[in-house]
Amino acid sequence: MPLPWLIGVAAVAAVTAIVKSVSDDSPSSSSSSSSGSGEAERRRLDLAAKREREETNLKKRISDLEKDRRDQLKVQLNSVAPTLEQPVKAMAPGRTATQLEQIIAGTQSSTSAYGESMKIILGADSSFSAVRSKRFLTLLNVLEGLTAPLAVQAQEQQAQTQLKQSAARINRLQQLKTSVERLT
Amino acid sequence: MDQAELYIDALEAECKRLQQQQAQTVPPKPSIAAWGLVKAGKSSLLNMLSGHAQEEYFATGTVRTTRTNQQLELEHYVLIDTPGLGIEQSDSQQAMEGLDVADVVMFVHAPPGELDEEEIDLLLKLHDVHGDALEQRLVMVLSLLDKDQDGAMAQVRERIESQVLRCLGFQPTCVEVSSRRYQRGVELGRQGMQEKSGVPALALQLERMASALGPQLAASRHKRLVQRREELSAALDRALEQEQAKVQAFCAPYAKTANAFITLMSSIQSQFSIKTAELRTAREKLSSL
Repeated sequence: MPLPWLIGVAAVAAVTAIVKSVSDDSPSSSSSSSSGSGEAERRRLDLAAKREREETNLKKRISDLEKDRRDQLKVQLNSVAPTLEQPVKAMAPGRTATQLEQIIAGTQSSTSAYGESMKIILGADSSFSAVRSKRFLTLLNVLEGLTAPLAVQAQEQQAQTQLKQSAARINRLQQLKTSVERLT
Repeated sequence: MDQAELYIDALEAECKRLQQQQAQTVPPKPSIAAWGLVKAGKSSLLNMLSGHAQEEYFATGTVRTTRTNQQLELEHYVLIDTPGLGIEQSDSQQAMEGLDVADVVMFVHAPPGELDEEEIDLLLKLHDVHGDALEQRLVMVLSLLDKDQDGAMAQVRERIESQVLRCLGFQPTCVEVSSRRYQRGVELGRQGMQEKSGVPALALQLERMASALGPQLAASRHKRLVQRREELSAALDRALEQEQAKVQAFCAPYAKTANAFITLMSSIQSQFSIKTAELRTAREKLSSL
């Protein structure tokens, strides 16, 4: 190869080497870009994993809370019916968490035989307010929704009969009082 | 039927009597009622007093005959025969009605015995009805004087008078009569026998009492009606209060139970709500992920 050509080739090779060495140091090079996207991917994966962990934890926490809430309710309900001098009633099976919440937040009054009986008895008591009576019947409906409707015991039936007799006597006396007042 | 029902029945009967008596036109003459236990000789005495010695107006007999109040208007007053007290509730109710309209009461007792417990109760009832005015309105009549064979009547009378004094706090006019002696006197036309029977003296006493009442009769009747109305009204108030207190006492254990239930269920509801709130927060967090 003639010398001028040799010099030329050598010069080009030198320039190329310089350019390459310079471009290797530059961050905006193409090899730098591919390394950055890997980092982001890693971060995304980390985040996803973290979210999954959080999701799993939350799901577990929700499940634990639901179980805890249900177990607590079951235990508490065992002591309620005896307060009303009724046999212990266990919580009815198969209720979902949402159903339990709806029952607990219910505002309807009980219409069971026991509820109707207590409605009459409490209604006859002038010292027991109508608001309190409504509260009792609402809570009774909650209890009966969670367990089962309560039956009327013999004592409530007897109480109802006696109250009816008393009410009839009071009615008679009030009518007589009106008749006497008209005598003036 | 229990005591409470019976008491209300009695109040209702009194209310009806008041309504009837207020509505009816009362005779302008004073009413004199013969009042006392069964077989005290009330009807016989009234026959003698009303000039029916031979042909009775007020039915008499060996069994109790007067079941309803019977009236007979005489020149100066109206005589009322009432059923004998102490046997049947319905008879006693009738007798009480007779007492309500009576301006003067002849309390007829048949010795030889003294006043028994039932008669003392009746005298106290009379005092309840007439109050202090009873002194001017009551005549004690000791009937069947002809049975006084051994002369013990004076002692019996003395004891009866002291019983009445203890019971009422005053001594009413007391007259001894024998309807049978009067009747025999009429039959035989013997004035002396009639006089000795005590019936004319009693008639005179009743006439005196009736004429003394005359001017104030309407006012005193009205006053008595008002008083009875007030007493009935007060008795009704008391009965109502008692009945309502009974209901309260009866309901109290149920109210206590209901209150305990409300407390317990509210606590359960509240604890459930706290857990539900935690759950809601967790669910919201989950859905926001």
